[in-house]
Amino acid sequence: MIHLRILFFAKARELAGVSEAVIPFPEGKSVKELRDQLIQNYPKLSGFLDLCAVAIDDEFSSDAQRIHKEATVAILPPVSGG
Amino acid sequence: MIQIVREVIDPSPLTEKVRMRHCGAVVTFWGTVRELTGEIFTTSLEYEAHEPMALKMLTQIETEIRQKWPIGEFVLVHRLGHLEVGEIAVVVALSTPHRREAFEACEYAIERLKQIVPIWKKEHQPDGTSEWVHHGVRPETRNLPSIPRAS
Repeated sequence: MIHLRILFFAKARELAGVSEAVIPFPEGKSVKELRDQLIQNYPKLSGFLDLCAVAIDDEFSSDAQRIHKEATVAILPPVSGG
Repeated sequence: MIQIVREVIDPSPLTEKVRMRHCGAVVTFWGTVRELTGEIFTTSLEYEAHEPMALKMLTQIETEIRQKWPIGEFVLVHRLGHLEVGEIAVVVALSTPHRREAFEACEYAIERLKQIVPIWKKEHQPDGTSEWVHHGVRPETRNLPSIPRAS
C-alpha cells in the first residue's frame, strides 16, 4: 500500500465534505481504480467525479495511468476561471 | 509575468509593463464580473484555485503563446476570492510588433485559460442561493481553440 494525499476543489470539495484526505491505495493500480475507490469513500461524488480531471503531482492524468508512488492527487472539476 | 492575487487588480500599470520599443501593438483584455448570464442575475462571485497547478498551467500558456507568436512582453494576472459585479477577475496584456498577432495571441491566452487552468467560480444569486460554475467536460480533454497561427 502507498498513501495518496487527495485534494478536492470547488463542488468536488463540497460533495466530499473535506478539502483534503490521505488514503491508502494499492501500489500500481490505475487512476480509474482510484476513482472507484473515491466513490466508495465519498458516495456523494458519484456522477460528478466523472466530469472531473485527476491531476497527479500537478500533471493531468489519464484513467489508464498507473500510480506507483506516493503522490498528491487533485480532483479538478470542469474549470471556470476568467 | 504570471500572478495569482487576492487584491483588486489595477490594469493600467500592467498594460504599461508590456510596452516595448520594437512592439507596435499592445492588447489588453479584462475579464470582469457580469451581472446577467442568460436570465440569471449574479450579485457576486467567489473564485478559488489549485494555486500551484494554476501557476504551472498559466506558465504553460505563456510558453505556447511565445511559440506561436512573436511576443514582446506578456502579463497575466488572475484574482481569487470574493468579487462584486463589475470588478476585474483577470487581466491579460501583451505586446507584439504588429496588431494582428497581438489580437490573436490575447484571444488564445484567455481561451486556453478557460480550458486548462484549475480556477473555479461560484455565482451568488439575489435569492441567496449560490452555484458552482462547472460547465463542460474534464479540463484536460478539451480541444485547443482553432485560432489561426500567425504567418
